[in-house]
Amino acid sequence: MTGAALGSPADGAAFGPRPGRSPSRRGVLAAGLWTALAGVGATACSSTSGAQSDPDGPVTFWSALRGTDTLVARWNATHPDDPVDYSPMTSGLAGGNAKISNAARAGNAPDIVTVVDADLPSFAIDGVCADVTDLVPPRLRTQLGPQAWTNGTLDGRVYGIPLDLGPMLLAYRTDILDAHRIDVPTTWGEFHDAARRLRRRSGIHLTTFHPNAYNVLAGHAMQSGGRWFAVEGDSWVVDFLDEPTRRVADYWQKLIDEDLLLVAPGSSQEWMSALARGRVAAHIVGPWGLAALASSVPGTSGRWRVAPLPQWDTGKPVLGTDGVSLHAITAGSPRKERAMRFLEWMSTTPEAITARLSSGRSSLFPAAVTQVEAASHQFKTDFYDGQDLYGLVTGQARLLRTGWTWGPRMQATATSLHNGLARLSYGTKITEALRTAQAETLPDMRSLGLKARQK
Amino acid sequence: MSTTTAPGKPRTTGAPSAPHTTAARSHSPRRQAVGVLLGPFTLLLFAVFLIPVLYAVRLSFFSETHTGLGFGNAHTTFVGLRNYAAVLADPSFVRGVGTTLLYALVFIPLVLAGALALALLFDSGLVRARQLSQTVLFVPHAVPGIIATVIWLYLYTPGISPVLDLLSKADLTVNFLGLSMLIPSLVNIALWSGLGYTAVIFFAALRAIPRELVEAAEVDGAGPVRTALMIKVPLIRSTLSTVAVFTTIATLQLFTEPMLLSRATPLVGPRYTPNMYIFDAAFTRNNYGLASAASVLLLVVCCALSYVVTRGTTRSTQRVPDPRKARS
Repeated sequence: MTGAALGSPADGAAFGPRPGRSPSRRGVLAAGLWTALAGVGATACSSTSGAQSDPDGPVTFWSALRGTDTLVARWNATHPDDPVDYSPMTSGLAGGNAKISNAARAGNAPDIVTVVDADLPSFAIDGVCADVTDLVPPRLRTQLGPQAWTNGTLDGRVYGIPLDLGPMLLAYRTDILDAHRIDVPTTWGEFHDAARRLRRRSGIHLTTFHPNAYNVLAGHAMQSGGRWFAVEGDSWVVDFLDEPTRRVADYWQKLIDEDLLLVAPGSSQEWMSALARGRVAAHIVGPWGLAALASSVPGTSGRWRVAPLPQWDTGKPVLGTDGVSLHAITAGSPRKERAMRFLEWMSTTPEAITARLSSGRSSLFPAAVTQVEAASHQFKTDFYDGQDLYGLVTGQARLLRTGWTWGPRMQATATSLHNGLARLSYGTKITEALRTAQAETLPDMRSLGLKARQK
Repeated sequence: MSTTTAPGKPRTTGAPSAPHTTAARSHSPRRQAVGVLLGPFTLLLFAVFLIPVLYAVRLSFFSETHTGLGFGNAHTTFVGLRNYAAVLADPSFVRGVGTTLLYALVFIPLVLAGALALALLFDSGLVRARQLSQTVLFVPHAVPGIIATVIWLYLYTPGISPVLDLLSKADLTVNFLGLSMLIPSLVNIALWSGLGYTAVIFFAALRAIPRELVEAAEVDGAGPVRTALMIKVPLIRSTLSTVAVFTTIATLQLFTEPMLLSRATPLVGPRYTPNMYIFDAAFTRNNYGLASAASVLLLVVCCALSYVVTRGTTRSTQRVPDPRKARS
């Protein structure tokens, strides 16, 4: 599974939404026309699957996740009387989100869509995702833990069925750390020391700061107890610079200022080449990213291992989430019960996860305990020296923090933040980028009519 | 530009054919001819300009709205000026306007002065192989903006650019996609594609100046520079201001070039210019109300600017006595 498949912002930055039409630079009238085009766009992007309104038709399913084809083929082979019609989709930022929104507006959205956790509030607010709280079967509810449900729940209601868990991990080069006699850090204090020593002894950067990875920064904020978007009564409280986030921002700023990190965009050539040449010794990412790393730098196979992410307080370990997927049933779907039956099968049965991961190129960590064993057989861990990754992640997933809420227009917030972080090398501080992103998020929320205030 | 040239066309092309096509069927052939000839234009004006504009204005006031947290309670209501307030309170929009103004401040004087200088050179006869050099200058304009930007991106990107390679061999490093070079890089692309086009317009206007005026100036002892600045330039003043309006409006709608640059450098964000802000609001943020409000604001500014410049131009051309009449 690639980062793009999971809607990783890192990939989104490289392959962002393409301009659908480019207006004539000289078009005097273009300003007015834009909005007309917007209206046209909403209807022009229609679904190819027909008979959307027939409750007995096949369940339609759009997904950008790799392995969905084999998954659906498996379901159709075992459930010939209840077929699912799957269409592949580009990932969220690469146009998938716009496609879903437009289809929903035009009334021809599929029954099920895959969305990234950060995009769920946006789709819920736009009325794309149905509130499925009362449709979730009790068995499914108990098979996924609170660490999973927190990603699919908004204001106490369920809008998405969690597929996987994303505890952040520290993948590191065993050979480099050994050669410079550096122990794997378990606290952020040790991490700072390790980065300092490694840089001094070898010139190698311990890890990379990706200015285009809001999800990683958010994951750090989650771990330290930050809360960017809070719900108080019927109003949103936005605070990107609360005390825990400020601590995280200052920490990473210090590492950057001391030149201990490579500052390079995720999925950039610069970063990939530094990884391949051993100029960077570690990578912080969720479970999905382990397979992506293995396929990005195959030449370093066998020299990596994965450790738990360092903690602020080892007595009270807690972890943030990086990039998980959910499956939402669309509000206009006439086949919600059947869609839920499919989702339950997909999210809980070993045969489903085996079918999904059968290509062996994904290290997705399923949310359901019943699927972990089957999943662990699919991803070969030669790259990580044969380490039992699923065993490690099972333990780490228990530390996941619950109760984080993403914003109602998270991709816009993310691009604001990325735009600010891109100026790090020109002297902009992480805290300034966060402040700007917050200032640019509020007008949008207010124009949607949401009650929003700053702390 | 299309709106200003379109009304002129039917009048000139239609004049000879009007009598015999309508005389047989109508009592007032003239009126009917006007209807037939202006009809398509009026129809298009309504279909592709006025109706979309009115729709945009409506969208900007009526918007999908939510209450409280907003989950599952979207409904369309009249929201008054809320979207306008949001646009104007958005630091990214204000910054986009600032960026565009800065760009305009650099680009417009450069393109006007550059094109005028080139046109005067052509007109003075100093340039050899005038036709050829004009064509060469004009060719970049025939290249679509997207292609032009792609070409320039290739030249701007370290590692693949032969220009940067050469410079680095001379121990010169220029980061065309760095923060301080963004506007110059954009201006460079726009100049490349716009200079020749503008120069051709100015040149055409210069050719329309009666030769005897220029000769008279020479007889009176004016040198070529003096003739150019004191005689020729004032005579094409209305062309100058018309081109200035169009250039300004095109500049306010800066989109293609920065949109492509935003793919190459994260320093150019998705809301870098007002037009990009509109695009981002509509298609990334799904906020058509916000996009419409920003569109209407941009349209109002463009219209106001055209009006001011057009008024200024007509008045100044009226005030300046026609030199041809004065001479004869």
